[in-house]
Order: sequence, then C-alpha cells, then structure tokens
Amino acid sequence: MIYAENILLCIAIPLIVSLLFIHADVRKYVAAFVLGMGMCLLAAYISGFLNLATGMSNNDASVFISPVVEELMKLLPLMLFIVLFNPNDNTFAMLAVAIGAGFSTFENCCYILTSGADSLPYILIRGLAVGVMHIVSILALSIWFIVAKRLKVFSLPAIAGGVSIAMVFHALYNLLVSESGISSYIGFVMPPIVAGLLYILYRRLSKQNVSQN
Amino acid sequence: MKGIEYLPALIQIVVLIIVLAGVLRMILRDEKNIKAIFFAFAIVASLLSDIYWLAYDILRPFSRMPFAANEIAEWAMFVSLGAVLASDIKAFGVDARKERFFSILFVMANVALWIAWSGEWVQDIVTGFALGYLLFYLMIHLKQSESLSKMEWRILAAACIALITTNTMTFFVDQSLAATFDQITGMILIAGEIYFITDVILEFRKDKNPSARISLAFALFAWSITSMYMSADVIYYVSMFVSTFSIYMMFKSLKAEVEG
Repeated sequence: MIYAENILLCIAIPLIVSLLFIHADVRKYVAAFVLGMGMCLLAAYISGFLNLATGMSNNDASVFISPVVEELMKLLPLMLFIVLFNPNDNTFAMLAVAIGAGFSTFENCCYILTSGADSLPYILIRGLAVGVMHIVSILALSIWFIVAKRLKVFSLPAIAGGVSIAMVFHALYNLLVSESGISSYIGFVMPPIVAGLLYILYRRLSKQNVSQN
Repeated sequence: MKGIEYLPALIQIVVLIIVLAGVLRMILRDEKNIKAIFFAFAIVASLLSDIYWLAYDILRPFSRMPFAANEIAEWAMFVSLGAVLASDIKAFGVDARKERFFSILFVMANVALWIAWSGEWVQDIVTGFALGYLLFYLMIHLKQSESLSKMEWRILAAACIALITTNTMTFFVDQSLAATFDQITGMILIAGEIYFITDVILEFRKDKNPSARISLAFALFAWSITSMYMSADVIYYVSMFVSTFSIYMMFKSLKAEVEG
C-alpha cells in the first residue's frame, strides 16, 4: 500500500513553485509535466475503481482496462490545450511529450515504491519501455492531430481514430509484457523502436513547419 | 490444428504490411492526399488488431477476452474508412436518403442481433456506431458513383432484409429449424461475397469509373465484415479471406484513382 496522493504532492510542489521563476516554453513544459502526473493519479483511481467493479485480476486489468483509461486521461489535457490555447505545432508536440513524461515519471515512482529498486537491469528496462511507451503513444497522437489540423480534417473521426490506435498500441504492449519470455522482450523493444520512427517523422514535420513560416 | 486457425490472420497481416508500404509510398508522393492518410490509418488499426488478436490467442489460449483491445482497433478502422469515403464525397448533393436510412436500420438490427448473441452491450453498441458511420458514407458514395443499378439496389436491400430475418428466426424456432436458417444465412452471405467480388473485378476491367471502383471495393469490405460478424467456423474464415482481398482491392482502387 502506498499513498499515491502524498507522493504526487511531494514531487509536484517543488515543480509548481519553480513555475514562478521560469518562463516561456520551459514553464509550459513543467506545467504540462505536472498535469501529466495528475492525470496518472486520476487514471489510477479510475482503473482501480473499474478493477474492483469488474472483479478482474490486477494482471487482467493492466491488459484490458488500464490502456483505455490511461490513453483517455492523457487525451484530456491535450484536447484542453487545443480548445483553450490553440498552440502552434511545435509547442503542441512539446506539451504532449511533457504530459507523457509526467505520466510515466509518476507511474515509475509509484512502481519503484511498491516493488523496490534493487534490480538495476529491471529498472532500466522499466524506464526504457514503460517510460518511453507513454511518451510515444501521446506524441504519436499529437503528431496525428498536427497533420489532421494541417489537412483541415481535424474532426471527431480523426480524434476517435487516433486515440483508438494509441489505446491498442498500449494494450498490445501491456499484453506482451504481461507474460514472461520472448513476448515480453518483444514488448520491451517496441516503445524505443517506435520512438525512433517518431523522431524521424517529428523532424520532418518540424522542417516543414519552418519552411512554411 | 491450432496453426491452421492462425493462417487467415497471418495472411491478412502479410497483406496489410504490403498495403501499408504501398499507401505510405502514396503519401510520400503527395503529403496532402487525405484519402491515403485516412486509409493508412485504417490499415495500421487493422494491423494492430490482428497482431493483438494473434498475440492474445498465443499467450492466453484458454482465457476469454472480457474487453478486447482489438475491438477498439476495429472501431478505429471503420471510422477511418468512413472518413476516406467522406473525404471523397463533395457534398450531400446526391439524394441517398432512403439508402442512408436503410443503412442505419440495418446496423441497428445487426447491433440487436450481436447483443442477443454475446450479451456485450457496450462493445456492440459502440461497434454499431463505428460500422454505421462507415455504411452511412458508403451508401452516399455508392449512390454518387452510380455503381449499382436500380435492380442491384433492390437485390441488396432484399438480401439485407433476408439476413436479418433468418438470423432473428433462429431465436424463435427449434434447433433443427434454426440450423436450416443458419444455412440460409450462410448461403446469402457467401452469395453476396461472390457477387461483390465479381462486381469489383469487372469494374476494374472496365477501367472507366474510378469512383465506382472505390465504392465497390469498400462495399465488398463492408459485406465481408458483416459476414464475419454473422457467422462462425468455415464461413467466418472464408469471409476473412474475402476481407483480406477487399483490403487489397480498396488499396488498388485508391492507387488507381491517384495514378489516373
């Protein structure tokens, strides 16, 4: 049993105070990072409730419930940014990365406090796999939103389609790592590979953005 | 024997990878090709769905999926394919009210049947919305491209009504009669698939109306999906092969349109 709210407060308060002394993109990044951690806590509440309500095992809940809830919770602040602030493409992608990084950082903190941090190889795998996975899924979603906005097809089908793919990618990862053996190795290498592909795509989009401006 | 069950899915995965490579090439040539982008999206969703299903069946062979992520991928696929058709429709200038209304009724009847079979209310209703979105735009596209003659529209409507009727009857009659109704359903489904395959191939040979090729290829896909959702065993696997073929034909029709 860990007190996730207390952990969140402990990590978030210094970051929130730091917002007073930082400016521009750094401030936005840190704010979105804290928001990502908050979303992780909310996702844990909802997943926990659904877990109890459906009577699933923890393993089953991580395969069936968590991907859907977590991707939806990450989508909410992303939509909020679009509706309220309509940020430019680079800022939007940066905010998405910050939400993903905050989400995975808080999840990793809670995981380490629950399961311990004595095995360095496992901690590295955890950081490179789950940590990167949350960033990859939300960054892919934000890139899709940027493309859809540029092509003027940013609509409900585009949003629903995008978030559905993020959910399935997340669910596939959770399924693969839920069983030991070769499937878990495939699962662990998935996020870094997709991160590499997204990096190439992101660079391409950024170049286009610069040439358009 | 388990390996044979995986064969249709494995073949579909290979075809999806080939199609995805082709669509990505189309996007690289023209980055503003909205239809290709949405289609690529649908292909990625379908690929993830197949991989998830395969991984699940291999890793957890004897456990039932309470809530399947591959269903979410299927919703994404239907919505994305609907968006492909929606982006190809200039305006609601064509009068397709009857067809649109009928497609909604057909989907609602299907949803009722799925719920009666599985009892999974939420998944089935959401699937209905996603499939309904695809069928709604498919009807307008079919009408706009004049792909079907009046007689063909009538036959399609009659086949859909017959499917719903025979499936509904299986709940109200004894087992032996239900098996007969199941066989009739299977025959209608297979006949529909053969009809649409022939129509698609003939339309490609004619090489006159690119829009009609897109319509018919998407119609073949929609029919094969309906067949998969309505059947089991042999007809299910046959329909999966047809679905794979239709995915390739959808790609070919979009590619042919771009290349003029």
